[in-house]
Amino acid sequence: MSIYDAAMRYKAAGVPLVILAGTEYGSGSSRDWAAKGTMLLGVRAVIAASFERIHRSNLVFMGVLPLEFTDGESAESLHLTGRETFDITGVSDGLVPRGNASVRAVAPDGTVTEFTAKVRIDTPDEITYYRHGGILPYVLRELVRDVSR
Amino acid sequence: MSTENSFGTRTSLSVGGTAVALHSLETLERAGFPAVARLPYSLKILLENLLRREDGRSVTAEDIQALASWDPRAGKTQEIAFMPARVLLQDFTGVPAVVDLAAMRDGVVRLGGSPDQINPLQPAELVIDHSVQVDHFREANAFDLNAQLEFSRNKERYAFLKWGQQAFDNFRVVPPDTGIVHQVNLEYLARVVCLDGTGEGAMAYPDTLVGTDSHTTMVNGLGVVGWGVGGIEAEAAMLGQPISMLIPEVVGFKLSGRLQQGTTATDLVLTITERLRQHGVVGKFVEFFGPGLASLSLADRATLGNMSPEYGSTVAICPIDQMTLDYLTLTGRDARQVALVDAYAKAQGLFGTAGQEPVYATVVEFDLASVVPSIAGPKRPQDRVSLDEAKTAFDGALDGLLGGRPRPVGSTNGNGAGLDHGAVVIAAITSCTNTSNPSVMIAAGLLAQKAVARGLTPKPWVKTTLAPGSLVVTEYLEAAGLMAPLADLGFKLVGYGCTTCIGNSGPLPDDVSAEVRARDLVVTSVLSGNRNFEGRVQPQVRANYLASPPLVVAYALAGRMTMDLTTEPLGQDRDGMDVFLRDVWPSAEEVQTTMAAAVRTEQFISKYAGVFDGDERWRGLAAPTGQRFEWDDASTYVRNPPFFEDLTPEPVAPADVAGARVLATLGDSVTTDHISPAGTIPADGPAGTYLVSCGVDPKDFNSFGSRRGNHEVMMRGTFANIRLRNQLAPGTEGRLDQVSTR
Repeated sequence: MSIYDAAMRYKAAGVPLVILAGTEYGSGSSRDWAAKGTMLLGVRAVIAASFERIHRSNLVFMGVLPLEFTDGESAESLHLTGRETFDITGVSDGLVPRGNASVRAVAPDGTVTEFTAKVRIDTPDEITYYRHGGILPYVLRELVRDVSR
Repeated sequence: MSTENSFGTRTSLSVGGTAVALHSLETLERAGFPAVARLPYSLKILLENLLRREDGRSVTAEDIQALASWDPRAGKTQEIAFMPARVLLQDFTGVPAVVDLAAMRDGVVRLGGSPDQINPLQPAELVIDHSVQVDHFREANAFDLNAQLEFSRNKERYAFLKWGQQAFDNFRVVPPDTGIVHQVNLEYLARVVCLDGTGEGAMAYPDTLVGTDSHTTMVNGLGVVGWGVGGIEAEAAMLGQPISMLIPEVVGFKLSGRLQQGTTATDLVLTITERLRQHGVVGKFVEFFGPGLASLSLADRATLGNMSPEYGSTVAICPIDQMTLDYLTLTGRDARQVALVDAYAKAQGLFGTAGQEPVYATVVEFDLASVVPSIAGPKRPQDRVSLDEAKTAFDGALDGLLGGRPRPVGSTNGNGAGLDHGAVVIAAITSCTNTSNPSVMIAAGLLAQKAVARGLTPKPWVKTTLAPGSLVVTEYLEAAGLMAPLADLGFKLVGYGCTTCIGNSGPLPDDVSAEVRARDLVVTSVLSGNRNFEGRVQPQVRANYLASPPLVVAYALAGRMTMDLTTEPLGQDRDGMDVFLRDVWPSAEEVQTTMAAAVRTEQFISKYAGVFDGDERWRGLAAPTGQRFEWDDASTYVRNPPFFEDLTPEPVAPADVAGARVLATLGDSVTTDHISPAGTIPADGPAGTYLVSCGVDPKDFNSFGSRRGNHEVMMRGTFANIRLRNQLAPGTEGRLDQVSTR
């Protein structure tokens, strides 16, 4: 099955999605469709060992949460296969730049893996964008508010 | 422009007898901030930006204080706002940006605003360079045929951009087949120093920009601070939102010595890429300085700036100096503008690094004389290989490229009998990285001339192309008498655009393509570009090497990577005598003499006079008018994106993530090319299936990059790269084997 078809099935079932990745995730280009497409497929968070600059900020600008493994951990070292179910807490409140989020992964056999991930929302402005669901919704709301003020 | 002027830095400067206003860094320094004098060049420019934009909200006096007393070695960081003077776009990223702006006009109306609230507040210039593909080559009229196909494929997008040009303020479009965005920026658009207003009291300030293309940093070579951002961030910047950033760590790259005979700026930039990737400069600014800098031409510096994203750095800049002024004059910039740059840079302590050495976070020392002829590949720009090791390096990489398959019997690489593993099937002189540099372009022409004189010919399976980044290149190559020998070796003009460098290589010739497929050959490309990620250049080409234009010509003659160009002959002359690379390699003096005679200011002036006009095809293209765009649901190129459909007046904060499943488990170094490919749309993938269902014939699919105005195509292309390895589905690429929705 293609990734797109899989994403659409998950979307229809109301299941949020995450991506697990290694180092230098999103290197190479300022291509914002990499973030737009990720968002439109229903991905709420990308958990990577590290991010490249532009793609990380693009994810934030599209309202997708970039999370980084900490303490040298990785999907591999935590024995994550991608078959787990993920809960991420610390998002709805208490979100601060470069703060922490708690991730709980439950494997099909019931094994629970809990770890702390660094929130790669790097600045207070980025927090604002993320809360607005992205930078463009934020700018739009600001423009309309400026005039009606 | 409102400013609090808390530090009393607004003063004036006389330029040619006229007083212009500026925010003086020297005044700030004297006001109790002695550290300003030794701030790196790029941080001085960010500091001026703060002074001029101080409004007590986005930029506060505390922000200015923090940067003015910055200790680059303290290892701290702080957030600042940056408001670029302009925004640069290319058509792959520009079309979706204008699509978003058009959708935002609808969105603003929905929230009770008016469409004209959505307008760029500063100059936004878009160069159409990413769409031309190489279907025709070696033919006399290849350029015209490719341009014609380009127009027939992209009519809808181009009409949309023409609509945008009339609908939005401050938005201009450089039509297709004119040049490559970064080269046009370097040669024409860059102001270096801006002037708002005219006459007495006009405000002078450093030219700065963000661009919707990674290689925006090419203009760093001119001393202009700017970098690549995503389209979304560029749109926000256009609408007046400051770019929020952390004060960057600035790495000083100290150059000494000189490049040796036989080495080029391309060799240099590939060596620096390798060096800086090892050093680690991701997210940092790199500043070139030291005694070796004076020996690098402005075009060399632009090549260094161009590949900043390959280093991993945000910016890779050379300060303004006499070389900058000379280049501005050479490229036909107005004498008053050159005088402004000169006076402003000197008044602000931005001219050269002759005085006190700036304080950098770290310094990397580099001897230009250590550079040797090099290529980089097969998959990453930082994997430099010296030319004399290229043969063994390819042999070493072959098993990996075969992906575990055994080397087929009878194809011992290196037999030279014909098309085989390692064959160079694409040799492309292309990309702003190098076509902006007359020295390497002239060197390629001279090498071709010598090769033709000795009777050498390229191997028949090589797709040879010439695609420069500006109309000026063919002017000076013509003036030097070098277009003819290049054409004799198959390097005929195929277009003015990115072509091979972004994956618009076009198909391989049928017979070559069939044989590569039938025998599952690992074939290669050699291009004078900046990127060589897997699957980027051409879907059938597994190994891609970056090289200088003269080496591109040499590899076309050799026809394979399985040969040592430093010891094995490129071919035989008419008398059967071996001809080696060293026999046809032009000397630095030859290149210099030819360049001095052929590259002239009039060429820049005449070619850039009508840069926004376009050809008859562009001028004759009918485009919609009006403030709001009338979306056509039948369009397969431009669709109303869903981003603002459910927009509420107040934000709804995101909830915690519960019960999420993994869509893909990926390894290291997954690029945005993997996540969202720009090139070919496979007919059997979800995007291809969708387009067919819309009645689009696969031959008219065009590329993903050209379809970014249609989110339906782009969603289906996300994570669908043929080379993406999803560990959730081992053995397959870009696919998922099962869905668990519980």
